[in-house]
Amino acid sequence: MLDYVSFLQNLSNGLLIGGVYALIGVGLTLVFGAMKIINFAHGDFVILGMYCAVLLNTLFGWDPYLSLLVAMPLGFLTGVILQRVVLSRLAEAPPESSLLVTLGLALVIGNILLLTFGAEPKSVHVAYASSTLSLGELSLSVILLLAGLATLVVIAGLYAILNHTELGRSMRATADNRLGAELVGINTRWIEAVVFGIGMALAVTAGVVLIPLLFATPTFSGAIFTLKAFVVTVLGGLGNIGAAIAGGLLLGIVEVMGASYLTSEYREAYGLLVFLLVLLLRPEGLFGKTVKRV
Amino acid sequence: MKKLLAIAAAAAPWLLVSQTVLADIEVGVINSLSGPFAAFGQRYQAGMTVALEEINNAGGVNGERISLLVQDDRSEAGSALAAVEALNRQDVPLIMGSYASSITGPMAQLMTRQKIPLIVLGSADDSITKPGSPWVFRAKHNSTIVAKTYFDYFDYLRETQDSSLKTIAMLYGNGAWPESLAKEGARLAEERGYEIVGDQSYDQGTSDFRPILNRFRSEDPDLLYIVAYAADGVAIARQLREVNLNAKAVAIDTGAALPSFVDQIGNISEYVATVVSWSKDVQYEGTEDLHERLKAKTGTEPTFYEAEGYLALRVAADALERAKSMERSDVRDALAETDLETPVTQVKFESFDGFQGQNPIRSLVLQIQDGEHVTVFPTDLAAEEVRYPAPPWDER
Repeated sequence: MLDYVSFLQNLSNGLLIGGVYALIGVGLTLVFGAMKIINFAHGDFVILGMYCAVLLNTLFGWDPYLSLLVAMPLGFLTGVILQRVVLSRLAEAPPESSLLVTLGLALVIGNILLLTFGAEPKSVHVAYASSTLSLGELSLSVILLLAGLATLVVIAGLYAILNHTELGRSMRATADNRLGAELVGINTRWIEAVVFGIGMALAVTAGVVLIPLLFATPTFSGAIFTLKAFVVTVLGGLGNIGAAIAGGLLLGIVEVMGASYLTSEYREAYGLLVFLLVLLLRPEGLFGKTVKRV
Repeated sequence: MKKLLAIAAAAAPWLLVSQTVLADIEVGVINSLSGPFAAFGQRYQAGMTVALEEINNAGGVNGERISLLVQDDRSEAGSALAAVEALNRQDVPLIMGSYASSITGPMAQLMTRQKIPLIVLGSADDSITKPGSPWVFRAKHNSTIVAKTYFDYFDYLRETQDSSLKTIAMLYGNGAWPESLAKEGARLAEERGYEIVGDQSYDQGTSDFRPILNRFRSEDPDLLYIVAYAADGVAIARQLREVNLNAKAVAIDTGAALPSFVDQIGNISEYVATVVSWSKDVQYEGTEDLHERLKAKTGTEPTFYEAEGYLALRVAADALERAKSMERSDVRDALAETDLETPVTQVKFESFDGFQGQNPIRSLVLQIQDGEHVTVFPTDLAAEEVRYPAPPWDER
């Protein structure tokens, strides 16, 4: 007998958590689309966002959503600086270099955080931490709902920028055909910096939004988030934002349902299993353009 | 070159002399001062410091002061093993450590091979003293004792409060201690006629338990038997309320004994029961004074973790005093003959039921009532009546 209340609670939790995963994945796929760089430090950007929220909460008692006002612009600026100072120098280098550089970046960020904050897991305790919204018999976590809402707002904002502003057009043009974009006068180097900045801002937002739910550890969790971001983007197809969103939601649901109805110990494994299957059977992603197979 | 050799030859005798200058007796300690177990490790450290002051103020061990040589294992077994090697090179007579069973287990095996006496600081997994070794000593409880105490408590509820108690759901991390307690719990549940309707372990480090709790919810268990550390314990308690999982009695081991558990989740913690080896109102001589000193040292309400830290160093100092020499084999022999009364508990190391070097201690059940940990079981040591059943979340 399937208890429909528990099932619906699981489904809604999966969708809401999946929304946050989607946010992380969109940042990664955006950067890849415009710059063809796979950013191994993306998960650590999420952790940076978490620690930003922890810091502002410890110093000023700010609610994480308030710290978003500081964290997002800060994330954007840091991303721009990182791209201009570090990554742009690799324009002519072989692709492995960007892999190694972003990996190195991940290590540097992780260890700076370790030195500054110590190894103990940190979280932010908010007054509404255990509050729930009741929809009939369903009990939904307020924190998860807020996270889902924030994700929705941010992605809507991103969509607006990409499709209704000149900047967005330039970004899409650079992603489509870099040479062509340069030929029509788009300053692609500047666009790349902006894209990386936006990618980082998205990751930082995800971190801030997640911190009331999770505990941040400086060196360990970064890799986990990077992995989740990869799973999300591959599920959807690298470079495709709408698909990354779908991939995120799928990952969230698979994880939650797997943890609930199968053995919960292997929660992380379920998403990775789907990842493996997609790579084997449909490597361009569930929504990617089909490539001819021989 | 020749000049250098000459100087070295002249200096050598002085180096030998400087080594025999009066030094403290250094006791090795491997503790989790950082990482996920730091919340507990700090408390053990505080307890040991209180014992250290007490021992040194009373004249030390045979007139000599003792001091602690502390190594941080960062909540990882690998670092702990490296620390054992480091302390070994510094010739400590014995080592006390660590908190988590997953760390102390490997330590015990290494130290048995190296023939260094180990006084277990905070780990309760059965396997450390069963079969154990002649070099491993534990003054605190083990999983068998703890699990039995929980089920004696459940039996007590079934006999005196509600004879319909039947179904039980178990949730535990996949570390050595939680798994050991769960396994023993499952065995006792079967033996005593409880029906296990949920049995899930989670990766240590998980913070989202909603899927598992939702699943338990569909089974509607009477009893919840949860083994979690600090951060996961808090998350589980919060999410119990979130998913609206109502059980008549909830037991959360380890994390729920910390005052921070009550601080972080407020009245969600009410009615939760937890097993401890010592509480501030237990009837041993000197308990109140110890409680005051521990409170002064930590600045907050002390728990049985500080008491266990205190106990370990008291046992070590007592053995060092009786030992024929600081040779490890003599220290080991002295440890084996321990018969010590402390404000925490009486200590004797015995072999029974396959255990070796284990103190047959009696454990207590505390329940959180009005934000305080109160002893409710066994009834002859209890300070208050148990509160049963835990009311549903929407009625609180």
